[in-house]
Amino acid sequence: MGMVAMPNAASYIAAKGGVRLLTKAAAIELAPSKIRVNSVHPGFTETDMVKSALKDLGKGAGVGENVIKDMITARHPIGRMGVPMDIANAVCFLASDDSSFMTGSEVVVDGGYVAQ
Amino acid sequence: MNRVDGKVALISGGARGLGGMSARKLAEAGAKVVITDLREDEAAVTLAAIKSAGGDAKFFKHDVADEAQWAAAVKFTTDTYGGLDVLLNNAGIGGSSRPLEELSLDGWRHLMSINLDGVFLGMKHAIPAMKARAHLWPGGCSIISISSIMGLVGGARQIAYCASKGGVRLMTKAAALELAPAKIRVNSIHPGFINTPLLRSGAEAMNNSAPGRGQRFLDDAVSRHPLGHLGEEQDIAHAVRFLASDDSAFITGTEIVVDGGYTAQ
Repeated sequence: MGMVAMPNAASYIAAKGGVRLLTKAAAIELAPSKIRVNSVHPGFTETDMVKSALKDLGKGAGVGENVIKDMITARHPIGRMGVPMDIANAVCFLASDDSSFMTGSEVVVDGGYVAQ
Repeated sequence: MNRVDGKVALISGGARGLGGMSARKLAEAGAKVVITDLREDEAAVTLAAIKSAGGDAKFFKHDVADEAQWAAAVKFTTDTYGGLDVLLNNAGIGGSSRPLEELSLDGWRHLMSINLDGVFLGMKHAIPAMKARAHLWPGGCSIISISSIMGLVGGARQIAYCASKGGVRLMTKAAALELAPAKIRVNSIHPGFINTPLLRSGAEAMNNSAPGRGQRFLDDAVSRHPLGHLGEEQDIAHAVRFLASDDSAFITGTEIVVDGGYTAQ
């Protein structure tokens, strides 16, 4: 939600868009100090926070939790929601020296959500 | 982390540069690698390095603009190693840095034949082989194409190169959407200026046409990267390895930008 929007989440979306560009500003400023700054952009990932948000969405729409979960899953071309390990692996990559020429970039871990 | 044990990779333009280093890193991480290229002598050097490090790799002579040769390259790979799991569309040429109005149609088409047709043909001919193997890996099979910062932002006197690299970026997304149900992930890598034989020979050619011009070009390029230096081949090879491994199992249809901050400003 720092790349695209959905209804009823304006403050979250603004915050995440802010993270994306703050990352770039910091990357430019800190490059001479050899501090790399990047952002990770998860799709919907099965965490406690997301599970409870989907529950609330379901209540608001008057449908079961599973209906919402299926709808959200369907927006990920890869056919599933993310799991925390998917994001952790990207974090490990960015933390390691393997990514030593990456700064100011966005690593999108979303099963294809924003590719369409 | 970042292991590709048991996977079979085909790397176009794998004789040297980004492709050659990617071949070395994938082989070190456990993959069997087929390097394709027109450059046989340089491929031999890369193969020798892989073998002396205990890796397994073969060479196949291949012009990426030729569809029949793509079919043959994939068949060679599946005959030799039993399948295909990772395709790195790396073969590509730079533009001639001429003013737009001086670029010939033939010159435009020649660049597209390698940078665009080559990527399309690679995807087309890899897919049937990959569909047979995708179930073997938690992250499915992986198609990785080398785009460029010039696939994200423009550059003067680079009309054909920018068109081709922007094309690679969007082909990647189209393919990713189409192939997701088949468990084939498709992503692009966008290098900044990287210290490769291609870049060094370009700078040398500039020095030959006007002394000092090549060095000024390189100095100017460095100044555009906030990290203060150009990238090295392994910077790209590490990103290739990450996208080839199951660590990137939820990553598809996206761009990995390895540019020292070039496009962040």
